[in-house]
Amino acid sequence: MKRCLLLLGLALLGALPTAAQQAPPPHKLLIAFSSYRDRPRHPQIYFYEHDGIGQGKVVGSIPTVNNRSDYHPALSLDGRYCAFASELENQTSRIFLWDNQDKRLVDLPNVNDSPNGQLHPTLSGDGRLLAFAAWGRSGYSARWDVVLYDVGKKKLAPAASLNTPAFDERMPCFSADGRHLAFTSNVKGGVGLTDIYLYDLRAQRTLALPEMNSPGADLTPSLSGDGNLVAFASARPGGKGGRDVYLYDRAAKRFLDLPNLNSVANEQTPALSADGRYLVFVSERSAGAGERDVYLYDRQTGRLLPTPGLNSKRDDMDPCVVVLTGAQ
Amino acid sequence: MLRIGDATVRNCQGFTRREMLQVAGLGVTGLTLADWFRTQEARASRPANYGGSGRDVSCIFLWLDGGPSHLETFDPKPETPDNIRGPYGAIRTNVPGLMIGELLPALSRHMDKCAIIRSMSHTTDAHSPIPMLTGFNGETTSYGAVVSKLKGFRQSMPPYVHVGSRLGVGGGRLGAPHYPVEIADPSGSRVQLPQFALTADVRADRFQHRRELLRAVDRVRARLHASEAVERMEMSYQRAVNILTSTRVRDAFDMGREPESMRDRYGANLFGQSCLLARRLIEAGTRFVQVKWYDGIAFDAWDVHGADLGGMVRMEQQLCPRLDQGLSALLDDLQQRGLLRSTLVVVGGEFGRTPTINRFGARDHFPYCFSYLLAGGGVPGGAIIGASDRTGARPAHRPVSPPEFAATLYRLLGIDITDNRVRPFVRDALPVAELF
Repeated sequence: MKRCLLLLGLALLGALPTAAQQAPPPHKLLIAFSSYRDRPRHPQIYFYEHDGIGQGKVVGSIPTVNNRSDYHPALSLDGRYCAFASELENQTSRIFLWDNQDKRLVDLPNVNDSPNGQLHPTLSGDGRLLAFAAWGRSGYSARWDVVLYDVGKKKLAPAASLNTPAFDERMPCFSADGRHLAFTSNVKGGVGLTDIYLYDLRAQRTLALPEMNSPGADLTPSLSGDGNLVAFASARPGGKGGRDVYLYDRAAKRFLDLPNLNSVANEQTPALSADGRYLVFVSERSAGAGERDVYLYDRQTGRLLPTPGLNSKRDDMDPCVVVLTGAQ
Repeated sequence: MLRIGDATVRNCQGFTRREMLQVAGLGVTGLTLADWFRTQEARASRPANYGGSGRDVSCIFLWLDGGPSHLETFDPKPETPDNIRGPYGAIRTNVPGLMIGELLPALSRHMDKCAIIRSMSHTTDAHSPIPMLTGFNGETTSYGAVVSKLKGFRQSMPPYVHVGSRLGVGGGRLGAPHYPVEIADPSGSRVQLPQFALTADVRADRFQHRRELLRAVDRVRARLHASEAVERMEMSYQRAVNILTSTRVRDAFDMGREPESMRDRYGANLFGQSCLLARRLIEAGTRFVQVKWYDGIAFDAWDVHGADLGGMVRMEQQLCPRLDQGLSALLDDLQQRGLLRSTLVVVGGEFGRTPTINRFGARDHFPYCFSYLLAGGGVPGGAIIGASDRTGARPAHRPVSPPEFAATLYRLLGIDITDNRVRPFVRDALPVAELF
């Protein structure tokens, strides 16, 4: 009798769907990244959709031309717009904006009105504000400066006291709400030689983050939607090895744990989803498909998510992620 | 008894005539290398002259192909004008007063093992490895080839190994026997050695059979024409066979024998794995390992003309982090294994980069002043040799030319540069005395 009940119980259990089977995919993530997968000499921008659990596929790319390298994609919150840097061989790097719905480049008057290099574009969540780093641009300093551009008004936007005349402001990254802009600067007086700062566009002032920066180089910041969480790469002592990804909570004034994310290899270029749950980054760990691979990390579970088809044998890099449906 | 002319006849060991002819060809097993080994043997029979220093130092030459920026690596200039100063600063090292580039934090903890020459200078601004890998324009005999000729084999290991895609220098005037064994890609678990592979149609058991044949033939030859030359030939063939069959050689090239943690420590990239392979080879007995920074995909070398993929961001995200990790792991590992004093590590490329930043926000070719790093091999740790001027444009003190660098390198490796066999590759140049 007991055996019969046990068998019946097991049969019922088998008939019930597991939690994973039962629950619909909670999110639809869109990852944009740059990859050499199809063109070994020139990378291209690709789009990859992921279900937030373990399934995903490449869903498109930005068309390109011969001898052109496209990199550093940055998405608007709805995934429609993608800003990226682009470099024709032997020419300086330019900034473009791709409309993923109409499948065309958006005209951006004045953005590339400089004979010198421009890179590292970033978009506000609504896609109306664009920022990028420019070398020796007319009207700015002779060094690297962050340039703001109003996509709606199609003109450069002022940013009082954002740049310094004798130092380098680079690697800008908007919060999705468009209020904050994180960037790096080597201005004197920082904790280290290259520190991360936050520019408040509403207050038009720069915030230092001395409790977050280190004596080493702190690079490639990324912000959560409200600008509270700052993800970045640093080779500061105490990490797992090489460069590691760190996540800082500005309100709580503390670093947040990222279990199972860093390795002895270099982890770089982290990018947060606006809700702060997902982090994409590049790692050179030995388990990858190529030397540099893109990884997707879920802070809620503290695990790397499977990303079938995301990486190739060649370098995959410069990822960014937005949550299209779900908890955004 | 050997009978020739009978197609079916077997010799005293039961070999057929066909088999004998196969052995006479010797190409079937990769044993065309025998000439190479014979020359090696001839060299090895001469007494070595290490100039009385008694040093027998091996070398790992890390060739940063493309020309690394001295200003962002070993000779930072954080206080220069805006059009020269890069975005990266200079960090302190474990040697008081010695600063290096901000992007090399791990290496900064190893500078007590390193000396930096900050006043290297020549005039060739094209991507040629010749000046810095031979010492002289027009010369194609690389340092490794000279070491191969003068020092020869150690413990069956090939004396000169090149890791990475091919460079335009090799055996040069010393000929094919002193060309390096070339390893294109060490990143797999098992390194392929095309020069030493059995050809596809020769199975291992057949190879062993032919090896026995070879011995039999040489024994007959020796009986017929006993001479020292035949004896040397026998040894040369034996060396070739040893490389094909030696457990030591096979193991040295077998990266799969390294624990995953060690492979990760060096960096899971071609440069890191090349450094690890170099350590394995040196440990096993190879005398000179040349590692070329790879160029597998576009713009992956140190030729940083542009701002992003072509340049500075790549240096920030790929080049310097990989150099920092791989070189630091190598120095650590050599020291922990007690090999650092007997192994000279050399780091540099064909030239440096322009002090003035170009419109891309990066730097172009610049041979007139650049840096080289030397570590281990008895070099004085923490030493700075020479100095560049305020902008890194010209040597301000104690310029070092490629011929002087060649003389220095040979001397550090324990080679007597007054030896007549070395003079053609040094000419009248003298070593940099500060390094001894």
